[in-house]
Amino acid sequence: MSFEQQERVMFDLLFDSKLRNQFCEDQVRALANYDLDEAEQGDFNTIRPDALQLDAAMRADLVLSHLCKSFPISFSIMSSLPNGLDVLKQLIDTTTMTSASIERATVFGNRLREQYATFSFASDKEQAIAMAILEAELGMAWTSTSLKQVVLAKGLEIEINAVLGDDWLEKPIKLAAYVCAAIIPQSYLQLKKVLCAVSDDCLWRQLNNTPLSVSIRKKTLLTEDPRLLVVRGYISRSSQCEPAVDFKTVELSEGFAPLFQHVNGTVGVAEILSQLSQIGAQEQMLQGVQSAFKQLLDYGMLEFA
Amino acid sequence: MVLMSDHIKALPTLGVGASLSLSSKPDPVSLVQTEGGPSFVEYAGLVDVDAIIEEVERVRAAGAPVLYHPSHINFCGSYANSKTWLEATAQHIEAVDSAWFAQDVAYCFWETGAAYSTSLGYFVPPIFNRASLEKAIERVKEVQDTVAVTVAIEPPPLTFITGTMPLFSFFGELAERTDSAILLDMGHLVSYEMASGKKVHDELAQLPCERVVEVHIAGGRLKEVADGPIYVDAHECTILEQTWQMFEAMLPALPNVKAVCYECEGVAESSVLPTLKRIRRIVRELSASEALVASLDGVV
Repeated sequence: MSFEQQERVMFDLLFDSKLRNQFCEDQVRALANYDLDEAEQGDFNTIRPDALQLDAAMRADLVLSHLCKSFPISFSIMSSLPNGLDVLKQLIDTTTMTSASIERATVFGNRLREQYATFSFASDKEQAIAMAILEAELGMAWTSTSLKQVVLAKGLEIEINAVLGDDWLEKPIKLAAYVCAAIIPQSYLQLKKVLCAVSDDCLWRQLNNTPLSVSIRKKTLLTEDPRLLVVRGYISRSSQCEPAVDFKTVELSEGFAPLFQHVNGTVGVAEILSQLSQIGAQEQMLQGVQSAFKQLLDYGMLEFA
Repeated sequence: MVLMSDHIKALPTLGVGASLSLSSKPDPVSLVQTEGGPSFVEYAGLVDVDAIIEEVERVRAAGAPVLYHPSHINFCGSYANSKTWLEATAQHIEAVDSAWFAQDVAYCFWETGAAYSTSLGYFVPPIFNRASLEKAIERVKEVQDTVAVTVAIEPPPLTFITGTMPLFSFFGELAERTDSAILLDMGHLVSYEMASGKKVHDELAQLPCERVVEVHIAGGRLKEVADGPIYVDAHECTILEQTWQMFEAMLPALPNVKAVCYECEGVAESSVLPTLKRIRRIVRELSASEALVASLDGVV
């Protein structure tokens, strides 16, 4: 007798659509590969196939409404693609659902990225832009997961940002932990405003009722005002059960991105400004760069080495 | 039949209350302060009490006791509950002074890692067989070892049924062997009847009725599928006629009910009070619980 095998069957019936469809047609054949005796197999005869299909569909829908909060713009873009919503539903399978709940958004996001690559967008450029947005959302999901895992393992406390001293320009700087950055075609907030008609809580339902129109997607993704989105995850509520993560975001001009290559723990802002000055940067630009570095330090996205 | 323990008899009678979201409409404090409002408030909240204590204190300050009714405990199956989450649950219950601790007997998480039932979409129901019952006993005792108050087990909503053990045989034996109280949700019983084709009244002899301390009534939807309707829990919807009928049929069989809870998260405030009034009328007319009926003296 194997109760564990019965549990496995029940889980697979809920999240493996191929098995479920087979079960609805021929229960005995569908369960033949599981190590169940006759009585254990008989326990599944009580399942109404139509009810099982309904349950699985509602369940996937609820899981997606939750995951949609981590990938709002990417879900919206998917809804505008042919069969995009179906692909999202198909990703709620045993691979996604056996991942630990704390890691599920990143597991799902990585699989969504693979799917994105297979879709036909209006142009390669549009696809690359959509992918960049997904990478940005995946970066936030990954940051959130990593931070939660560290808190659960080590009991990290909520940190208080350090106050910058007078000598902050001279000190070598480096990228802080739990920071991700991506170049996106427009301000993230602006993209969300245009592509997500309702709040994150209601978005999945909204997209099912009214998918994003192809014309809005095309128009929005090809409107270029590129930004460097820098995001830092932080613990907004510490807990040994379910720490909450929130994000601080800064959006800088795309041109700031190459300066990140110098942020390696060996040079300070003053030195970077000096190098820029030597290659002809104007005072106004230098002030803008200094101000951006200060903002990144204030937000804890950069720290002193 | 195992005799009911003193700890269940001694539970306080809370009357007719409402299950509400602490931070959204309808506002629990406003309802509690209204004539004919709920006499207690039940809530599903985060496991960490720090996250909700201010809102709970507002409700208690308004004069209503609270019951914590979460959705993160595995009360069945092979996957044990996290000690950390159990301890946080125990702290939560103590901090808000929940008179008992009730939750659906279902899977909230699978294999590794504690989580809310939303991680699986919603509750995955237990398999109704003897091996599953033994695992459920393990799980309930695991909770009882950490939680200081009486545990009440609740049959979950059932879209489909796995296993042949009748619902009340499973829950009757689970309650007696763990010395637990029972919470019966009328909509969940309707869901069982629709998913199984059986009638709960035919199984009533298997249910230790005196252990039923709490009754839930809530809105739902019927989904028409190939082989007949399926009940779907939907608290924001109106209470279905089948659910009212179940309520009226069950109340006379339950002599020790301490609390009837209208689960009305997301329901318009204007329709909560009339529904509470209807529930009280039915309780007065049909409940076998003298203490519950007495608790309604002077209430509209």
